[in-house]
Amino acid sequence: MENYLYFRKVRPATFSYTVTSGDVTAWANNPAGTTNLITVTGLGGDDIDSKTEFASVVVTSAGANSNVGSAYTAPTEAGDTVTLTADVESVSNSNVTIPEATGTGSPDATDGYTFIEGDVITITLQQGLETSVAYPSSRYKSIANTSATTTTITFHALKNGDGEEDDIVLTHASGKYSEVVKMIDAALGLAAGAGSASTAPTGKFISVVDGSDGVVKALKGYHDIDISGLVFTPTAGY
Amino acid sequence: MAIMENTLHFGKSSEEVEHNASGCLGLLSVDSNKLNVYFDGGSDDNERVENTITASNHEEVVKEFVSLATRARVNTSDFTVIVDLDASNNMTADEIRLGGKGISDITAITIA
Repeated sequence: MENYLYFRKVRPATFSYTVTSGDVTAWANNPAGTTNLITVTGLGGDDIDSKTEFASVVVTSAGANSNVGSAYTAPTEAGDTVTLTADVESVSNSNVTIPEATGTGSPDATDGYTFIEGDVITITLQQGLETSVAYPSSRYKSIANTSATTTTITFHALKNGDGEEDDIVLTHASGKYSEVVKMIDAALGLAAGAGSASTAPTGKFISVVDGSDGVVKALKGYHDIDISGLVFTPTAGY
Repeated sequence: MAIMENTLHFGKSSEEVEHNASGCLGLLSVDSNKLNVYFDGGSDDNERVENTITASNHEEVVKEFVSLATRARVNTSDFTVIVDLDASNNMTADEIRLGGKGISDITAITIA
């Protein structure tokens, strides 16, 4: 029975951003549609492109603010919190857009939010679209040294097309390619369960790289590879 | 000692499907509460089962899937229930011996 190799992207538990006076000016004068734009960072090189990776978006107000959508109770003092509705934010290339509640352009008087300097926007992350993947050992195809600090692990695609491939690119300390190869080899070949007289050996769940909560955990014994990023690129159409 | 391959059962009241464990292509999180399992469709397209689970519980469900899918008995029936949401199923005691009712965290499935 074969092992399953599990990979999970690098994602912080939460991401916070404090609105600056420059943001307030820029967002108030944004003619494109009065959107507030923040960029989520600390993602190990793999952008967020789906709201499904957001569990919540909460604003901790810097003070009283009546310029909020009708869906919310307006904060009356510093420290008041407002949980933005699920429909208010969109995300592409890790850039989160939140429409303003007031102003010219295309404000959203219901779900929008016009920020004031010092507001803290806290995004809590969760598993969502393509956050994690597991492949049986038999789907492993190859490994390649793409640079001194990146290694590409290739699996036969979930799409199951002839010759289609899914790639997982790890970013790691310089010169650690051979260690990555050893790690994958170990994951593929870790001894299965022993079984017994009436039960055969079993396959195992092997967590190869887990970047949840902003802490990258590699397979036991291979932490010195110092993995800092994981980019998962599945063949489209799976 | 013959080791028989597991046949993995996904079922609900109106529909069911069985796949050979060796045909599994992988598992992928596709939403905060959804985990897809892909199987070889015998052509350019795969076949898949979308499983509705508790939010962010993907890893635990994958672990349980792997445990069930790779568990093998010797010289015996190898029918393994991954999920059975059909309250009135007529599987025999032997058929449900592996996996029982399956992974309890899966509350709905879509077979595609």
